[in-house]
Amino acid sequence: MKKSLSIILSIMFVILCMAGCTTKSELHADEPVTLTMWHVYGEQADSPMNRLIDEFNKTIGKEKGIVIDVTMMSNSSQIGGKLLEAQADLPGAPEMPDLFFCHSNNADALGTENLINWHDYFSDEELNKYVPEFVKDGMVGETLSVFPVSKSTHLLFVSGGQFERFSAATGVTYESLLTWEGFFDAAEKYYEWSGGKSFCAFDYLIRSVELNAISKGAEDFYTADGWYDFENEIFKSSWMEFAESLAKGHIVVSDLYSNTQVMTGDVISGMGSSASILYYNDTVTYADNSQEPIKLKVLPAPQPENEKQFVTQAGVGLCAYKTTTQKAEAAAVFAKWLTESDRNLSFVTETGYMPVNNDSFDKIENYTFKNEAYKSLYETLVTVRKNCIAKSEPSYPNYYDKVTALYNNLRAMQNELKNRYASGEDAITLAEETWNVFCAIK
Amino acid sequence: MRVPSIFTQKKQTMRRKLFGYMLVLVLILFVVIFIGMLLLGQYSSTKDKISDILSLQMEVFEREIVAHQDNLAMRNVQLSKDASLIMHSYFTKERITFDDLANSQLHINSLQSSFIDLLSREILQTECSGAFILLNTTVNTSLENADNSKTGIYIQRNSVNLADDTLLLYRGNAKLGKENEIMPHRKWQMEFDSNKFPDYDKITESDSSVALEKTFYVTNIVTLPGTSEKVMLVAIPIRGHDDIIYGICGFEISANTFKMNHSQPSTFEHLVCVFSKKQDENIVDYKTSFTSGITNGYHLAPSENLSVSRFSKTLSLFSGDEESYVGITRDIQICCGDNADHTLTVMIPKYDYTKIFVKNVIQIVFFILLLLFFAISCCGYFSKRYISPIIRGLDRIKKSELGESESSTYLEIEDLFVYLGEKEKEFSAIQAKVDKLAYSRKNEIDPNDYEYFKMGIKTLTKQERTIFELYLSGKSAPEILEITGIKERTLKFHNGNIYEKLGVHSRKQMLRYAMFYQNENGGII
Repeated sequence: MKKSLSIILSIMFVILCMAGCTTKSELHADEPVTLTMWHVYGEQADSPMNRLIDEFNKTIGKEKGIVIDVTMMSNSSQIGGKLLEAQADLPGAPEMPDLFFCHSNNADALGTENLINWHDYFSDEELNKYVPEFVKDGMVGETLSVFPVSKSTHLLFVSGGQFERFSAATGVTYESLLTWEGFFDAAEKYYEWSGGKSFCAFDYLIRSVELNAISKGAEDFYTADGWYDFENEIFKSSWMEFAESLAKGHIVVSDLYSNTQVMTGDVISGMGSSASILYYNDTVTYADNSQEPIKLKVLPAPQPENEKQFVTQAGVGLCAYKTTTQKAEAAAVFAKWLTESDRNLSFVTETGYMPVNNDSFDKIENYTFKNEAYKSLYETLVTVRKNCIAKSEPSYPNYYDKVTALYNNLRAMQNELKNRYASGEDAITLAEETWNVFCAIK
Repeated sequence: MRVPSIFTQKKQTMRRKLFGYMLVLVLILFVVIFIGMLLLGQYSSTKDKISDILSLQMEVFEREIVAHQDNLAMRNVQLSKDASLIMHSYFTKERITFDDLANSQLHINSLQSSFIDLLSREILQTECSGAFILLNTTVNTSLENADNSKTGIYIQRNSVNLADDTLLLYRGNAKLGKENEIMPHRKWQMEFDSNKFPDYDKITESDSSVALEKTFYVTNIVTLPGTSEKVMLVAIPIRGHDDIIYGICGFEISANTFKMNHSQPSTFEHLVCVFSKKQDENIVDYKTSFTSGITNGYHLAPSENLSVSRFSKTLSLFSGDEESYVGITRDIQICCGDNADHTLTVMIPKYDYTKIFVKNVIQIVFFILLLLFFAISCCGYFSKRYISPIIRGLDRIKKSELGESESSTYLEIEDLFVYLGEKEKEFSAIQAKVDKLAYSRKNEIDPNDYEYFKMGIKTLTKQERTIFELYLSGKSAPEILEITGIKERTLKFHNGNIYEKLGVHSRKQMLRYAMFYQNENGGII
């Protein structure tokens, strides 16, 4: 009796002491792990990404014990800067997020050792489902630090209603805009037809110059310190083509995003990211508040005639800051869920990006788009993917600071150049001035 | 219910008995402590605890909301006065009236330029997502819907992050915006359609005799035209010096700004604070509500209407098809204007409530089991410690191992040892005397007579034997008469027979022989 009572009491004690100390799996539905996130998808109120995150939190996240909490929505440039501030723990800097979207150069600056290598969480079989160039684009050294979620390219957005009138008057067609030669000719004609209005606003002028130069045979025109080799003749020649048009006022460097200039009728077209479709208004509004439907037409970026065609491959990817193995596992669950074939297609078609999943790309042709502008965009994206070679954007340290400085300088001088050209100065000389300004940036 | 055998069996070991009583004492103590806590209000159920915490959260939430709205009202009054002053000064300077603004891009742009400066300052100093000044005029009266097209400036913060001071132009002249580094919103329009501004006419129809503060108007929560962002607008009319209402001005609070500014520190992981216009008290309409969660945390905002029902004395149940919540509601009136009745709700998901409840039950059961374990262990241990010396003492007594050198933990046991030792000594002394007496009397007994006595005992009748034993036990003749109920003559008759059979001639001789016989046979006759 005494012995059995002692045994029972001992077992009871051990059970009580062990209660709550059972082994837990890394993810547990009852104790969800929260991953903070910074993203770039929809900084102006509407965010398809936020809707997806809500869906994730309510479904698979709830089931597996993962909560994604968006703590910042901004553009990639701001997020890149904030990440470095957060990592350095500067006074007033926000807390480092667990998940964030950024470019490869930002990931490199943060240090790949501080980021999850997605290779550790995706099998080769799984990675084969993604577009190889996009996966390659996320490699920082030997590490897959930036996981592709969506990719963009640069396209030409044309205000259809205005272009139809211009086309009727001048005979310039959309086909004319497929080559740079036709494009610059159309720009000149529009300038004259409209009484001095620019034809196109460029968001990323330098990228068009680069791709044009590459098509014409320019080889590595980057210097070791991540800027341009100004001795490269083909590169300079490409610059001069655009600079001459700029000096004449036929094209402009956009105020920031070309869509704002298209929707106020300042220009008839804009060269920008495919994702800028999200920011295009339904109407063009003129200074007297009169409006007309924009009838947006999306065209591939013009190419040099009879040369190889290159397009830019841009866009941020998903990074996960290395903290705990539980968070890493949760991040991988989210990344896989986010890039599943149908979900990836549905997400990108709302935001104007290219899908990263091979299956998603194949499904575009049969997809029902929400309006004609989006249909036009994706028809163009499919064409571009078939006909052009994708080139990743440069990711040198401080490269984009220099590019911003270049654009600011061009914005500051473009009106004056236009006026000087109008007053009779030589366009080539004015274009040389822009080259000198370019060369002055170190 | 069966009472444990430890209490029902008459004969138990001392240890088990003591263990049982100690256990009963401990249990009684538990019950008394529990009742005491209950009476003193120190014990509260999970529902009470959750209700108390939610009430505290509600207090904080309400104070924040009221303070925020008061601040908005104060700044809105000042904004209205500043806008009015700008316009009055401009009219004076340009020698025009308000009516001259219509169709004049020049005048409207000049005023908008001043408004951009004013609103850019105000928006950064106020906890809001946007600020606006809309005038009752338009840049083009010839357009369709011109009556409802209101010129003005409406700017928004680009991000809910307060550190980001980038602004967007939602309504107004895009060129002026760009000149001030305020880029047009992706759904930018030049003017605002007042049909899409909740209660625009009601705000501008206020009586000029009513103090400006009293005209502060809080709109329902609506979706801003062209966007999917839910916003609440607060506005005050802009009154001219000539009592003309120039338009309205105010601030926008978006759902994200509300969420960011009113997140609460809380011990609940998924606290949801809801701010909504007072409507049907049995429904929480998620479409016309703002929600916030905990500081630096995610909150599961309702994505459907929730029906409200009573959950407990102080808590309500908010039920939806997908999610249910438990919480409390409170009606408040913010600021001083019309349309100020609102409802605040502070709640947690039902599954969180259940989790807390189950956790508390497990904790209580764990605590009780732990106490019981220690109580049983302690009772067992201490009863053993207490009883062991007694058992040892009894063992010694049984084994007659008592001596002066023996000692015990208990004084009482030691005293008993001493007492029993003395008694043993006394007994030994008496025994010695008896032995001595027996020895001395032995010589006085004739062996033949004694042998005859021994033989005679066996021949006694039953009645004679009874009387003989009564004599031996020290009884007198009268006592024997009383005990046996026989007559004196009968006793004398039996006495004669007993003396004859035992070969004795007196009672004294008979008792002497009997004592000697007892001594020889260990006390047995």
